[in-house]
Amino acid sequence: MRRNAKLAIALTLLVIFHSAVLFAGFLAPYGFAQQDRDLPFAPPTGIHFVDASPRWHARPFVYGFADDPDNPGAYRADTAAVYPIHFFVQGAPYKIAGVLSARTHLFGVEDPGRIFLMGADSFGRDQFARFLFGGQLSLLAGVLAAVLSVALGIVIGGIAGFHGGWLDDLLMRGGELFLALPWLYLLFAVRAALPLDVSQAQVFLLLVAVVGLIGWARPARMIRGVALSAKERNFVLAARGFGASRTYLLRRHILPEAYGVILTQLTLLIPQYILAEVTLTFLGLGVGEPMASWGTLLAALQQYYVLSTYWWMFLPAVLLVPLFLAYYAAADAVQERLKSVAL
Amino acid sequence: MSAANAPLLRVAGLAKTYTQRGGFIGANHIVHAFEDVSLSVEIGSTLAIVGESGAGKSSLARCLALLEHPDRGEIWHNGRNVAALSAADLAPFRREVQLIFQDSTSALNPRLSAVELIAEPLLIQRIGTPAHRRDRARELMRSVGLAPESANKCPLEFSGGQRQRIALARALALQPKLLILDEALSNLDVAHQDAMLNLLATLQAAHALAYIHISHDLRLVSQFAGEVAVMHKGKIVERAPAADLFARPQHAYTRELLAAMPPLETLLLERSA
Amino acid sequence: MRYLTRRLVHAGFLFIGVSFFSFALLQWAPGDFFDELRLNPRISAQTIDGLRAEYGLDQSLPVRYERWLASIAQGDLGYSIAYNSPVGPLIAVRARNTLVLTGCAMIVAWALAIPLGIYTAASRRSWLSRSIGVATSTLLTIPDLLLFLCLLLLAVRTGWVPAGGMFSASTTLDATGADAALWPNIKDLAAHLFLPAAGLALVTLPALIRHVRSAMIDVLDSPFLRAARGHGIPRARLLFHYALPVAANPLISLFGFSIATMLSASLIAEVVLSWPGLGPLLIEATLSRDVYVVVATVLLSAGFLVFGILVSDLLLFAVDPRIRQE
Repeated sequence: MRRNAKLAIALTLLVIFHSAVLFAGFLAPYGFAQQDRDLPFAPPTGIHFVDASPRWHARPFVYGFADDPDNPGAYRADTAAVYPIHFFVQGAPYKIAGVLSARTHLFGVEDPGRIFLMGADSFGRDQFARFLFGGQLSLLAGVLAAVLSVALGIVIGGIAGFHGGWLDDLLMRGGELFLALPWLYLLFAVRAALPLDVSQAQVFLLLVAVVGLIGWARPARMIRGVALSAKERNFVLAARGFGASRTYLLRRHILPEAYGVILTQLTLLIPQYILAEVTLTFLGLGVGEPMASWGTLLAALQQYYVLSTYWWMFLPAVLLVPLFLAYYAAADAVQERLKSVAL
Repeated sequence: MSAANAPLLRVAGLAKTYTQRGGFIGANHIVHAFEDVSLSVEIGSTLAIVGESGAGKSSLARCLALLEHPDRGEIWHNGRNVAALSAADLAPFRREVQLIFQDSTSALNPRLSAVELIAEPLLIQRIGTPAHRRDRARELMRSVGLAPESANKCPLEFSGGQRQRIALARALALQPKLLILDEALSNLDVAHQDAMLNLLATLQAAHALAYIHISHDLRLVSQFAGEVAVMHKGKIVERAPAADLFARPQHAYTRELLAAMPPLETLLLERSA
Repeated sequence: MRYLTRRLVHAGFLFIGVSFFSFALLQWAPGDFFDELRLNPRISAQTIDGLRAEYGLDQSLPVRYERWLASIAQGDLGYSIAYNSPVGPLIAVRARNTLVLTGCAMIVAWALAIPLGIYTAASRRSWLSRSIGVATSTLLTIPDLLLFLCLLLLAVRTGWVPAGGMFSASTTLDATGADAALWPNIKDLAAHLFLPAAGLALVTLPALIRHVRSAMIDVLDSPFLRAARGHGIPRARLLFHYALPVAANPLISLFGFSIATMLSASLIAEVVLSWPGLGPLLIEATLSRDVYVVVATVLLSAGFLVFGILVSDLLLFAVDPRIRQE
């Protein structure tokens, strides 16, 4: 029971995260590139029900920002300016999954009020919006790269395990090469070989390709193991006795044995690849401004004064932890399921 | 020899050797599974190949069914040396010669249902429509004594004896002429063995099936075999009609095997011979 | 002896594989680095062609690979455009710094992982074991980047340790022109080393503890050890005299592989905590398309790794009698 509860919680968290990111345009009150030069590094706006009078409002509201005279550069709440939060407001246009256009946002406040759930950066851009939109990039990159790695692993591992002999040796030694080397250095080397001046979309695809191509070795090794043991099974031999072709054997008998391994590898690789994208972008080699990726959000933290003064800039990094936890818990659960079935 | 009297399968000088690679820098380890095996199987007959438990017999069984390729020798079937054919040309051979494994659990993919397993040969050979295949599978289940209602159950839900029946039904799907039973009865208890033997006899009479029984159990073999070949250290040391072999064993090893049987049964054997 | 030869050959192959990969990368980089020089109006086209010919860029691929290998063997690692100097000396200092950092972090990580792993394997049910288990699981989910940023924040806010660099500005300035020597400034070095080494150790520790633990559990659950326990051999002796030597085999192999993880993590650590090692160099070089630097850095890190694996193989040979018998 506890095991199932853990898996249920993990899956729920993953669904929440991914849907939130998918509907970034709807959930975020602002666009990711929308600047407000008057409010650099605004702290997260508090949500209040009781104002300074004190009067109780049915509708939650936020205060406006005013400069703090004691602390240059900092803000204090302007209790005179009350901006109620409205729901389902019309705002900046956005696209869902790049296809459907819409203008409705879940919540928002009227100008010149601002609702910064996670504060703002040096350009006054809403960090909450940038977090959600950045998630689109980082999560998508992670998932795509993981799928690429696993797909490559299936092909190479399947061929190696099924064919055996010299081909297996050759492919596995090649894989060892990839496994043995520090992956980040490899990543940089490959990235360096690619031209720097390409469009953002191309950078994104290149990133995904590079990360995915480097990591095929471990899934390939696992799937090769499955293929090696599966091909010796008597039911595969029996099928051959009926005249089955190699493709039929792979498709009907060997691949299904690998489903468990494939799923585990995916759930393990996705968070690693998300982190890889974030790290690469953080170091300046991924997508650049004004695109939001979690890496660009964190890049601002490389400056000491940002790091020590504006604590909300840390939030994107902190929020990665529950996401990874959910993925690892899911991977654990899949592995346990596998073990119990195998017995 | 006219076509009517031609043997179903004729094997000449078959041999198989296994080499275990010693790794990058290391000696290879060579195992001779069997050598210089020659025999022939007539239509509707039963040949038993007996010998001690070891790699030789199973390896021979697989080579006879061309699940593995022999290193030397010929296998003549319908006027062709099938040992030299490529996989694409083997379809007619595959339809006529089938193998049943010793361990039914490993021979059946646990993820598939009984009806899918039995219909698989038809699927692979692209015979009939899915509906037709399912019907034929149910028919086959009935013919081996399995309830068609359990068609959708998975192999692990059946008993060992029933699983062997599924394997048998599957082997019969393509209407073969020769079944090779690789220690197929060894994992069953005596009652099930008897039931299976009766079933096999019925099927043999109905479809003019020929059998090659591979076994280490001389007692079992004595109940039904027409001809017996004795294998020792990878070679066939004696081959004779069953009665002759039990009454007048020629080779020292055959005598050893017979001597190892419990005395009561030897008495029964001599009495039946 | 055969084992050693095998491992040496293996290491050789690995290194050649990486060298070829790096070289291929060099060739794939669209345009060669002389394109950058061409932008400089003061350098004539003839000079560039001459440089090209000198570097053999107009030859076929195998010839270039050979010449490149030969030059590497002689210690000529190419030329850096960004720094306007040969790559060799440039890398040497950075490599030394990375080695210092990763070396310390390795020592700390293993010094902690072995006792903690042994303890959690030996006393599986104690609350301390379980807490350690929880701590390692938590550490595992925290992304490296976040950890280093947190450490940086800690340093900046509290000022307990310097937050970046390898030496204080004064130390570096004192050494006139030459890079600061290690030993004379050891206290300053240690203060600066603390943060990145601690971070690196923390990042690799959880996986190490888990592996040590599982290796020990495998041994502790094995029949021969149970028999020894049945003979009444005291616990400490059981652990250290019986179990540990057997568990040493997988652990020494793990040591070789942990170098790879450590190197990758050190890259991030060096960038975030401003440690002047190979990491920041690699990033700069990648951003400025300084391909020879990139290739040399990759080759060097691969070299460290291959060397580390070889060392662990040698250790295995020395420690495990079964391997000697092969």
